[in-house]
Amino acid sequence: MKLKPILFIFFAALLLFSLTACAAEDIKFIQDMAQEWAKAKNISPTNDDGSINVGGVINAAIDVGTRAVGVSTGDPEVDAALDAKKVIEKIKKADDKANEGVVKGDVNLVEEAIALRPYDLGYINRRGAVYLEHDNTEAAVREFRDAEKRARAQGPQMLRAVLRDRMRLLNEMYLRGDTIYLSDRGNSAYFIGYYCDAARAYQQITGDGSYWNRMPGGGSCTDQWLPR
Amino acid sequence: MLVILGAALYFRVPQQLGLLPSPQRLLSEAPNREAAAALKEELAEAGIDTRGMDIYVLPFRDKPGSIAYAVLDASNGFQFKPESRDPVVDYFKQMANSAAADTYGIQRIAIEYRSTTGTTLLNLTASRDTIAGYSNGTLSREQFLKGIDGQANWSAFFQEVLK
Repeated sequence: MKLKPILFIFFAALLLFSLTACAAEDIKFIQDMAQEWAKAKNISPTNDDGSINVGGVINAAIDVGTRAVGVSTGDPEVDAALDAKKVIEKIKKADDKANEGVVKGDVNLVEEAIALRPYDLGYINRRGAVYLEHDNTEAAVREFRDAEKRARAQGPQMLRAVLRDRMRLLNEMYLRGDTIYLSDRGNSAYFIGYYCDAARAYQQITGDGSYWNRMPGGGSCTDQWLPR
Repeated sequence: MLVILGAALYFRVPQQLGLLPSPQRLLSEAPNREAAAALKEELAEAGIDTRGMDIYVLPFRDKPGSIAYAVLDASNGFQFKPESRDPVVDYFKQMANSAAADTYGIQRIAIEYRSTTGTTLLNLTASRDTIAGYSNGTLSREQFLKGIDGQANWSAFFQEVLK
């Protein structure tokens, strides 16, 4: 009778032990890497025997101090990469809100993301996607065109990125079943029409026909799918 | 006066006022999500467990190319591949040698490792040229390590050891 709870505790303990062991091993990998790297750069606070490396401590303190107040490493790309942590923290916070907004069909969440990062055109695409989910095609097209126009002003690389992001977003929406909101217009057929229209525009601008040739759910777009 | 000056420098007031250039200004406001998804997909296809791994591709603002920034977050379930003995370097190589890195013009790779408590322990960055040099044997291990820049959170390491 009491075997089940005992087995449960045993397996839970085993799982916890193996997870802790993995985490400890990972920390060891990271620590070894940090020490090897710091030694090569002469900023390691310890020697191989574990004693304090005074020169390394001083160099490490100078390194940390100068970075903290924003003194350049001399290479702007390195500075940007090391400072990117702050950028990605903001992106993650806003991305989480925007993606949750798309999944839940809640435009307010996407608005919050836009407020956090107003220049990120990916969120304009997501606001368009939520409008599309709610069958507000006019507003959706307005958002997509706005994102396109602003991306175009930033150059071809940004335009391609924004258009690809839109196609990926539409793909994900279809596969996740977000198109259930479009029930009054024939459900997915209507969505596929919009998808193919966007895929054609994407092909015309980028020359990449992969989205046109690969409809979500299988098959290829044809003119008969396009909205009339 | 010194405290005020120190605080102003620490909180990057000159950069925020535009008196000194902020490193972030080199990067575009919008990340390349497509490139990040392609890179992550390629890592998954190579057998890497991408749970707890976030990748961001940040294009340069005024020139072609971008930086790929990978967050390996143990607090979100990230674990290194058990068979790897040099996992950080393996991740650098895998990302630098990927087709996505070529396709999307990734020029530099940064890897940040976060512990199970979400604390950043190590943040390293290297150019793709440096990583490629080590991969193809034109750079020694020592030269490769010297070509890496970054920050180690030593106090957090000591706390991890004391756990």
